Amino acid sequence: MLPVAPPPEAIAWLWKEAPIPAWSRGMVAVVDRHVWLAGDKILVRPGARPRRLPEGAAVIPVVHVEIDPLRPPAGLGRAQAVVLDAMQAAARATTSGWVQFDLEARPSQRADYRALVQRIRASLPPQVKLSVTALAWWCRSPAWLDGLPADEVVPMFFRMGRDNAPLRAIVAQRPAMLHPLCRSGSAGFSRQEPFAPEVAARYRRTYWFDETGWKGPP
Amino acid sequence: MKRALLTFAAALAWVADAGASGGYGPDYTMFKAWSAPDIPLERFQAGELGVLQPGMQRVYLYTAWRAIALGPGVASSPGLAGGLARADGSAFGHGWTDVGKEPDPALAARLATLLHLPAGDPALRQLGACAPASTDHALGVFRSASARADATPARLDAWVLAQYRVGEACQAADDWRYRSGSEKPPALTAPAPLAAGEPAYWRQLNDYQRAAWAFQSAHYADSTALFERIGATPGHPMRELGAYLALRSEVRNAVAADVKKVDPARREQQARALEQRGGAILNDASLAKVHEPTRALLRAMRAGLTPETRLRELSGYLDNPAADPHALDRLGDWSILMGSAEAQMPDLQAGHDFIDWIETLRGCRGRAAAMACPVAAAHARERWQQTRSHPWLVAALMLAESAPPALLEAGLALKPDDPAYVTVRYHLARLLRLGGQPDQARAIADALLQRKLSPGTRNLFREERFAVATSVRDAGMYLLRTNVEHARMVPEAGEDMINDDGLDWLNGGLPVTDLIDLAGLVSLPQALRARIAGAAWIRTVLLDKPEQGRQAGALLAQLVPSTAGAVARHGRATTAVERRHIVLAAALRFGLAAQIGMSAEPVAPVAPGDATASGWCSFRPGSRLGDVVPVGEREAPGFGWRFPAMPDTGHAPLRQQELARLASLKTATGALGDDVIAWAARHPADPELPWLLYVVVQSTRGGCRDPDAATLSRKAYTLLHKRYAGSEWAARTPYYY
Repeated sequence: MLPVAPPPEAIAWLWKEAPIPAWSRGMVAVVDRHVWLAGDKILVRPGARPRRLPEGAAVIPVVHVEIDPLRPPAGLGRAQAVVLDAMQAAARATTSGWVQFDLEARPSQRADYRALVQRIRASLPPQVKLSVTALAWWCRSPAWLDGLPADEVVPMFFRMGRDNAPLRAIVAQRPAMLHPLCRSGSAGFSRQEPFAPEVAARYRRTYWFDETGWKGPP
Repeated sequence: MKRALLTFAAALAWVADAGASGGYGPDYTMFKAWSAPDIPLERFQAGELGVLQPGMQRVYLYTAWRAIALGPGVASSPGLAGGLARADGSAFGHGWTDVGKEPDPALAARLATLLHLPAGDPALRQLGACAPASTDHALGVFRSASARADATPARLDAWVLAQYRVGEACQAADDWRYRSGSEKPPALTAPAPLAAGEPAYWRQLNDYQRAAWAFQSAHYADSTALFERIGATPGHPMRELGAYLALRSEVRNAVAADVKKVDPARREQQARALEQRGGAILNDASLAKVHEPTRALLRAMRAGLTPETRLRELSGYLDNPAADPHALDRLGDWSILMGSAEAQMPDLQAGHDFIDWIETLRGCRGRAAAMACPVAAAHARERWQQTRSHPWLVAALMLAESAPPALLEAGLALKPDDPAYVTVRYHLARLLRLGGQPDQARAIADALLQRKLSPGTRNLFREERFAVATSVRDAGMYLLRTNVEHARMVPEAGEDMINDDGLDWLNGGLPVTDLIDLAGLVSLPQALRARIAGAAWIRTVLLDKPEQGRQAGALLAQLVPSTAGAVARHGRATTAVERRHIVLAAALRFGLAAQIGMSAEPVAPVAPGDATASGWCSFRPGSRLGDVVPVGEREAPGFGWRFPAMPDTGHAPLRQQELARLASLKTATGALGDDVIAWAARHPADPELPWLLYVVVQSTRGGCRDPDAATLSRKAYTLLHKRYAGSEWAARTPYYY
């Protein structure tokens, strides 16, 4: 079976208070704030915000925007102020120089999403670097990623749903079919859905998700 | 603080179960109440447990354990009024709040003038940077003060400026949340004290602000002293809060350190001193307003400062199912502490039967539980044999893959009013089916389905009943499920989706003749019947079964009259090649597929530009629409993802023969492409050809592809541009893939 251990210096996504894996003690991506968009409602909630971090651990605060699958908002425009506020709060708190924006936009929200990323970039201090996560299938659709004003795109090669099998095959065997931003820069993997080590090795920076919140065996 | 602690923990639990980035597409636990019951909490606490799941959070599993241990008497036990909603955080909206309010306009305007800032300047938002309750309290004070006769502009300005300093401290503390202990936050300016000549009321408000600033800036020695002085000043407007806030300041100071590095005996000493201090507040009748917050603060203090001791205390208390688990929010506190008690877990499991029971069940909650589950199952059975208790009977049945007669007998002996009854009956049905006794399994499922059940519970019994169906139409009666998450929000949500067991049956368990029979089952939704008829129709041309093709086509045309033209053309066709081409093209026009997906949208014409060949990926065993990984290559699923085998509704040789032929086919893209290229050679004047070639090229762009997809794409593109260069479809095909 494929290995489940992330490579050295990988970055753990921390969704809740948990011991930070040893390999991620240099840098960890902490979900800093959740924003939930359900119909006309916009709700917020603090994220993991671990009380104690290893000495010297640099934090990438992540703003996670959840779109209610059953009551999606008509657009992302109404959430803009809340998202910008959350990103600015993340930028003030970052200890890594990076902030991450995580929104799994629907196909119909592409234009809104791109406009939102543009506004986030414009609202952040220039020295703060912007990372954005990307659903894996965006890597097969240039319209999502071409010219996105982010310093880093992190395609998430896990929980790929209906497209899982063909996308896994492409990621594993035919990476040339992916958007250039999804081929070698950064990528997200799950400990529960591992690829062969050479896949993660293609990327300069890898983020790792764990279904158990780094609390149990995979 | 208590509320915040609970809310936060519940929110985290929700997040952990909700999953994370990358979630897109079906969640295969959407048909069962996997992490939380889909039964109203009051009824769940009173013993209506439905079918328990190992993925349930500890607060629910404890509640279930208690109900099972108490038996039917749980309905009259203490603690049924709202306690579980506090413990699981639902009483507090699981931590979700509406977006924070903008600072009060009057305050913000005054501050803007004072600081010479334009309206809307981000700095003004610092007025609202503290916790909402603090901000609201401050606003109330400002309004009261403004209404006083001695409220001069200068005094109000001084108050606003001092409040801004407090907000600045809150903002700085928040911005500093990821800095490690050795880094010092930036130096901030404390609110200036008022001149001694100012009236006492205004100086006292200022005292409070300076105390709050010291607290928010983590100068706890100062804040404690200042709050104590406020509490000891007769007539001070915040006197009632003084002693409580001084205690809070001490608690914050105590838990701010990394408690794990402090000797437990020292921490215990600290905790007792704080409790003594809190006791003084609780003994002072004049401070009744802060008694409840003080109790909550002391509980939170124990959880933060001496978590190991507190967890042991709580576990000892919860050992007794007759005690009210929600008195002093003990169950909620316990579940929070259990979330970070990995190191203590072996001792806790060994020392407390209910913890052992809960953790044994949770051992089967992971997606890749194939390894952990048998160990947990063996432990559960051993504990049942030792104790013969109902909780362990439930656990042994839940985790078993086969059951000895004694276990089955014990399960069958359970009375219908027992809280464990529904869970036990479900697993009896499952184990009897696995043990080759489908008639008994069917009888159990049929009997339970007569009851009023929650959507998740009903789904599970339908799943079992489906697995032991006696015919195609019998299976069809139990094919559909309710999306449990949807039903939580929309109570009238119906059974309108198909889970994996149903998909396996529809796509790999039925020959064409049975698909046609099933499409005639009028109790199924019309859209699904049309989809099934369409799937049968496509398969008839792939298998060259013209007579059945006419039957399937007639049914489709009856269900979807707009398909009648294509069905008629198919009926008039004289060759297998012609029939195949007509059906494949019609499938594109109407979005028909040879395999069924988890929900059936009504069949309707597809916009020509959006059509793709996506009617199947593969017919190899276990493959589903959009999935090319054969079942044999999938990982063994964990408890939450396991399903009964699909029913055997007969005609096995015919089904196997058909599937073997279908399994050798290319993907829908490949099959269509080959058909269109060949058709173009024989019927070059067919006006539909430019569009069909366009669809072939678009289909090679993604989704399921054959190894020769790139060649096909290029071939179709070349033909389109060579022969139909002036067509709309050539113009809309700038690339091949």
